[in-house]
Amino acid sequence: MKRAQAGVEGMIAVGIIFFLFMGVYLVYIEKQHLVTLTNQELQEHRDCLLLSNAITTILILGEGSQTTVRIKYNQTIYPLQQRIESENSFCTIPVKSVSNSGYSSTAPFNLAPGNVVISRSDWVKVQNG
Amino acid sequence: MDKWNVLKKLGTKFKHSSRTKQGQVFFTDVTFSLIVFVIVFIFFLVLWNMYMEQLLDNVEREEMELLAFQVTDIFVNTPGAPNNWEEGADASNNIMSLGITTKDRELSPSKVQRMFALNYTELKKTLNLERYNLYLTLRHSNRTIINQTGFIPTNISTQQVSVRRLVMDGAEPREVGLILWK
Repeated sequence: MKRAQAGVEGMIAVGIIFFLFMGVYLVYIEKQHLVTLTNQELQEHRDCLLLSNAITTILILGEGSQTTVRIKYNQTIYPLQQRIESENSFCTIPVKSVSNSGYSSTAPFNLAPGNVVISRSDWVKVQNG
Repeated sequence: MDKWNVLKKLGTKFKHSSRTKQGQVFFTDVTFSLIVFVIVFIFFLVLWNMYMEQLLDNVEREEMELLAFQVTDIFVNTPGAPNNWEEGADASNNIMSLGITTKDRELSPSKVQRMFALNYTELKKTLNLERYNLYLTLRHSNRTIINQTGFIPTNISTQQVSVRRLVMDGAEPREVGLILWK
């Protein structure tokens, strides 16, 4: 009789521990996912700020200046909204005079991962290079 | 009852009482360790959330610092785009970038006047700082205010970045100050 009771109690205890560890494991998986996402978001944000800073610097340095930066993620520049966007992140630029031709155009354009050449002609010209 | 039977009974009693006590000890141990585990686990979750919040705050602060430097750099180093942005009646719609100097760190009085005449919403929109509040000043070298626009940070502001840049107004040194806050 007592042995059987001890068995049931033991099973309950093991069950509780099992569910507890299941819960912990789920939290672990969720946090791991969050870390991966945050890491990617931070890297995309880093690329975004890198572009934003390079654009501003080239604008200030004036015609004839040029710089090359390397980005790891796709970025889209929206000149009219003064915004640079990637899949999970965004940042802003304080100027609208940015295009991929170097001349007046407010159409959004994409930048693929790799080298990006930023130079100054009439407007700030940003294109993969 | 012979000697062996007495010993056997005693042994059985001892075994039963021992098993029961072991069971009680096991449950007390398990309960105690589970409580400790749950407390430690909750503590780590709270700590995790705290650090995540701190990380995001730092990222935002760094972005605000960068924006404040970029905006003031453009102010004091460029004439803005188009070059004569201050001349249009509806200037804010046509401004590509907002600069207030004629050449490197030399103020253009007409651009300064026009910039401080822009209303707060227009100014934030032009500088693309709509996510934040700003307080922009132009001061004499003795720090008395010549022009100002925007709002001074309140006590409840959570993030605040302040940048000061020196410029020349003719032969007079001036200070352009920008406080970005939220």
